[in-house]
Amino acid sequence: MSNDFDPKILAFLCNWCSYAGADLAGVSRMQYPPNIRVIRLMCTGRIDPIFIINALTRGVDGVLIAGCHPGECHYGKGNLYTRRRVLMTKKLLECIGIEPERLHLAWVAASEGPKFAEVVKEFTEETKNLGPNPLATLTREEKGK
Amino acid sequence: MNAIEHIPTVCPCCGCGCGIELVLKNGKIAGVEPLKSHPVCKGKNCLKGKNAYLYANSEERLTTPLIKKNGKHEACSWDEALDLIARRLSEADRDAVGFINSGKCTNEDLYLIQKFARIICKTNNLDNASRFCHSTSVPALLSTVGAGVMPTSTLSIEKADCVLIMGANIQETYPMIANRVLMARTKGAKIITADLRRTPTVKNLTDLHLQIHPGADAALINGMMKIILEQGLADTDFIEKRTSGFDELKSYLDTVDLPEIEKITGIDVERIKEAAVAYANAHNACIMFNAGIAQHAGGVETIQTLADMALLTGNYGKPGTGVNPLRGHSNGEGFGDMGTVPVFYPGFQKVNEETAGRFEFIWGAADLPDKPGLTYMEMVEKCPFLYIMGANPAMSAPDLNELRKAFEKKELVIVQDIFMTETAEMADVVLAGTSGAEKDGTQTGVDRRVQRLRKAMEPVGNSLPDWEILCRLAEKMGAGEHFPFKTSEEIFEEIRKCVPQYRGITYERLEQAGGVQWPCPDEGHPGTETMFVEKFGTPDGLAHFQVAPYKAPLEMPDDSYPYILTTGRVNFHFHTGSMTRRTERLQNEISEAFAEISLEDSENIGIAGGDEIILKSRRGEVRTRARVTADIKAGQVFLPWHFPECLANMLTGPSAGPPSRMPEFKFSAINIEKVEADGK
Amino acid sequence: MENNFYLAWSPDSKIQEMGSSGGAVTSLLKFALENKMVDAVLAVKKRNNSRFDAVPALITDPDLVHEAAGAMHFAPLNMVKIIKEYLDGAMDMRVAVTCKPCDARAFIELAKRNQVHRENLFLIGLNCSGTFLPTVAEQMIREAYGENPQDLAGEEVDGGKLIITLKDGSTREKDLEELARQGFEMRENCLRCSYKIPRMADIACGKWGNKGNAATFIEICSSKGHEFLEAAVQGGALVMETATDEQIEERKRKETEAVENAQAREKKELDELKGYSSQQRLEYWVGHLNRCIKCFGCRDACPICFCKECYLEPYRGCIPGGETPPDIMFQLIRLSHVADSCVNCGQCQDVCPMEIPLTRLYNFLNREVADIFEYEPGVDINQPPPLTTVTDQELFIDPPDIIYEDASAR
Repeated sequence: MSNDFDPKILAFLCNWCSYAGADLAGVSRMQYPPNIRVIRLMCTGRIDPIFIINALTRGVDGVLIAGCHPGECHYGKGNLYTRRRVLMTKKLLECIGIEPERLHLAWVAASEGPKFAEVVKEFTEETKNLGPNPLATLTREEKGK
Repeated sequence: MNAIEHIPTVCPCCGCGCGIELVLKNGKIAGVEPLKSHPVCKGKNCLKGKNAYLYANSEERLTTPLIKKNGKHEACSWDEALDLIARRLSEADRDAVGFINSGKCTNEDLYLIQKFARIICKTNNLDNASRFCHSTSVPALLSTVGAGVMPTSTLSIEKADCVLIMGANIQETYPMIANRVLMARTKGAKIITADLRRTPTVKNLTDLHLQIHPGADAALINGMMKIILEQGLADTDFIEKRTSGFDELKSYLDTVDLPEIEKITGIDVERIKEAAVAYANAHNACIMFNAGIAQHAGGVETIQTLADMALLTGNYGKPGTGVNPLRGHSNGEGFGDMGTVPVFYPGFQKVNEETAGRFEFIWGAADLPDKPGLTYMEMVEKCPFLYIMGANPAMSAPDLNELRKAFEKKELVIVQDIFMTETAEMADVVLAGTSGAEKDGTQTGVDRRVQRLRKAMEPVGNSLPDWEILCRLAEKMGAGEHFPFKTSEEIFEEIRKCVPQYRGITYERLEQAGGVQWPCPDEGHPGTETMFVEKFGTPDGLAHFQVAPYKAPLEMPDDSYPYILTTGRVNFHFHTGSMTRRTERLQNEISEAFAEISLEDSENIGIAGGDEIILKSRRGEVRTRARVTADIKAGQVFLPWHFPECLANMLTGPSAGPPSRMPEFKFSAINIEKVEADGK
Repeated sequence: MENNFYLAWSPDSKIQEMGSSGGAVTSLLKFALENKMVDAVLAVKKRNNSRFDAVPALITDPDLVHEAAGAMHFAPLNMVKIIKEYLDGAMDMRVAVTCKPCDARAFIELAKRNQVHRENLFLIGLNCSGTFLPTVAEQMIREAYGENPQDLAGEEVDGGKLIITLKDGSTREKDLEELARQGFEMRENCLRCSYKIPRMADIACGKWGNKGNAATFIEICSSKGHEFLEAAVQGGALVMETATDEQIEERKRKETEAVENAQAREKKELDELKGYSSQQRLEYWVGHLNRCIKCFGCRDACPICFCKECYLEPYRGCIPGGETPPDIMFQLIRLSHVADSCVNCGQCQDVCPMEIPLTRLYNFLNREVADIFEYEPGVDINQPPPLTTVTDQELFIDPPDIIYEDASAR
């Protein structure tokens, strides 16, 4: 696939760890692809699977969730719920026919600026290879036909 | 201790006649469930059915009769209201009273109102809103096959291997019929839809969409018939044995010019050919149609062409075939059977001296009217006294400005309904009726299916069933002996005597889910699934081909009014919304009117989706919001007619002449104006 | 009562006749009502004596219990909804409910979420080999068996056959596969269901293992089950005999056969779906889901759905009102909400006017989810729902894509 496809990625970052980590990557002037749009939450445990699925039906090409490492969640176990929900959501996407690789969960601590950049780079590359979100194309075709 | 009861009854909305169960907790309606054993709905309901009868508990219910004094409605007793009516009606001239009734009433209610009109007021001035939907179907089908009813059973639609849907959006308006079409399609049937819009039916159920220019359907079918003849696909055996008039049709079809048809319909000849060949090659081809075809000045001709095409290809008399009108109301078939029309007594017996004489004998009455009565709009114009039962002309009739003026000049307007409808607002006397959940009775669905309605709750407030009100009024007018009925079953027993098609049906037989389909001549007869198996309903038993050329709509667009308006329904509301707009779940889905405008037109006029616009016709104007979509073609506008704040019928107008007198709801010329930011 | 397996029957000959297999369940229910062990019985009654038209009956008069006698394979009702929706989850009344395995599983799932009061429910599980939709069954009797549906007196599924008994006592039998070829199949969810014996109820009752005797084979599954049966025997309402090894074996054999068939069928179905490419699968599901006319039938019928303020309603602002079909999120929200708890009861697919194969989709996801979390919906009331529970061990498991220490990414 000729890759002038520029994926749109929605990133959910938690206030205490990954958002800080992203900040650190920023002030350290680390380069990473500009494809992500960030939504900051206090904890990734706030993420209802519906947010992820909704984003993918609205045309986003990939959803990235980055939270604290297990054992380091500011609220104790929030990220553990996230992990379970992401496992379920990936399966849901797979059952429906959307590539589960379009959803990615990573643990990024506040001090892990380089890791954040790396995660974004890898995920953007992966999403680029997957191509545009097929559900969005399907719904767009339906409405425009 | 809690008590739970399940009362099986029938949905009061469309003509599918789906079974529902009202769940009563401690005597009050707590929910609605689909009836699993019902043969038509198979345990499935649409959103309207799932909320059926919940409006019966609305606070807006009329709970007492009202009399208008000094411009305001005041509560009164039944005696007061009925005494007043009795006095005024007794003074009225013969034929000065018009009875407008409704397919929302039960067979028992309707049977009594026509008996009342004929015995007491000595008039045949009876009509209802089917004037506005199937008054073209009846003469068209009478002239071809001898009966204006649905010849196949809903269940048999599955057996068709080709279904042609004309002017109907069945997925939104008749979901259980759409289900059967879906089942047919799963088995390999080809589904062809002719509709000017890309409706959900087109997108989900259709293999070949003919996006036809509005009103051009007769041209399309005549074109298809020409192709069928040219390709040698006509069923010559059937034509020979069961029809007459073929030669005249053939001569006419020889003159039909396909390039001309292409121009009129806006459809490529190749596509017309594809449709024609698919239809003609099928073993069992089914045509169904509704208002999109019928509500035109040329409706009679179009439906005749449909019947012609079915006859041409031998598609009558077998399950899953025929030309099937889809009646809108839950009792849309029943009202016709009960004779609440100006030209028939009960049982489709024509109004004339002979029939009048026969009913004089059956009813023990004298001097029954033997000349056809006035139709709906004629009554609205000419009758100084109007008795309106379950109908809402202030929303469903065409040219509403004129109607309002006419109402102001009436001697007496009586409205019998369950809510203060727009028409009831204008009435002098308002009589509080009951919904179908508060009374027993029967109703007859599209496929001639007579079913039982069961009482699930007591009448709200001081309301009374329609039939009981008529009995009381008749008593006051000195004709009580003809109305001695204490139960709806007693009325049904009399109906059986007068309507030969119902003779074999009893309340006991109606205990089973799915009722009995007429004709049912005797109690041992199982009911009739498919009509015209041996003979047609004509006097000679043969079907008659009719030459029916395309007739252009009455009001073509011009420079002042360049757009074509068509009206229709949506999934979530039913008709004038009197029931559905008082049902929370349905009102939550859509509570505001909208008009579908094409992408091109919206660009040209400079409007975006959600903008307020004004639609204007020669007769009136309405304000609404634009919904911009690719599903409608440039130059065309679709407006649902469920919303009293945006009365589609302010805009519609001209009516055809006899025999149908159908208002051309589906084709009016309008203009669109943008509402500027400052509201101008 | 030490063992768990018994044959039971009613000592009353009238009840024996009216009920199935010796009338044990009928007798037990009558006894329970008479002795105020429950306030009401929720069972299934025939309407107009038709085996195709069933209605849930809430019975409070012990003398009317016999009206609800008999197992009906052609009338699969939604028993859970009555309790959940119309009887406040049995909050203030004790109810004995006769239920199929899927009903029992749904009760367990709801009990975990505090939507029904398990303590107030006495669940009499009935073995189930599968059910047919009433309209399909009626047509089947008429067309495949060539008999008048009004003449039907009983029906039974055994050894891959559907055996019907007519009013004159004669029987007819046909292979289920043969019927399927003619277009008459059980409900789709029944075909793939491995829960033939409802061990999650208080007692599991059925015919398997009774060796043709007029007796019900009862497996006691809880202490409440013990309690009720003990009382009934003491009270002379029930005769119980310990089941022989032979009878237990027979029952096991039949269960294993039925479960194997179901599992094979499910595997075939899941393999087919998994065999599609991602794009094919997307087009397959979107093609079906686009037919939706937003009747809310699936949500209303689903025993698991219980939210008072539902996401799907237009006033929530999530799914725009008035659209046909609704935004695809309507379906995907339903899917994500029942992902872990779908008990494959099939009620959603039964009520869909547009014949969308909903149970196929929900079951597909549920099998995957059940596998990842080692969670079987509706079996063990002490097994907490996987998406709202986390364990302390997980604090020490690092990878983002597994939750179990000893497994690689599943």
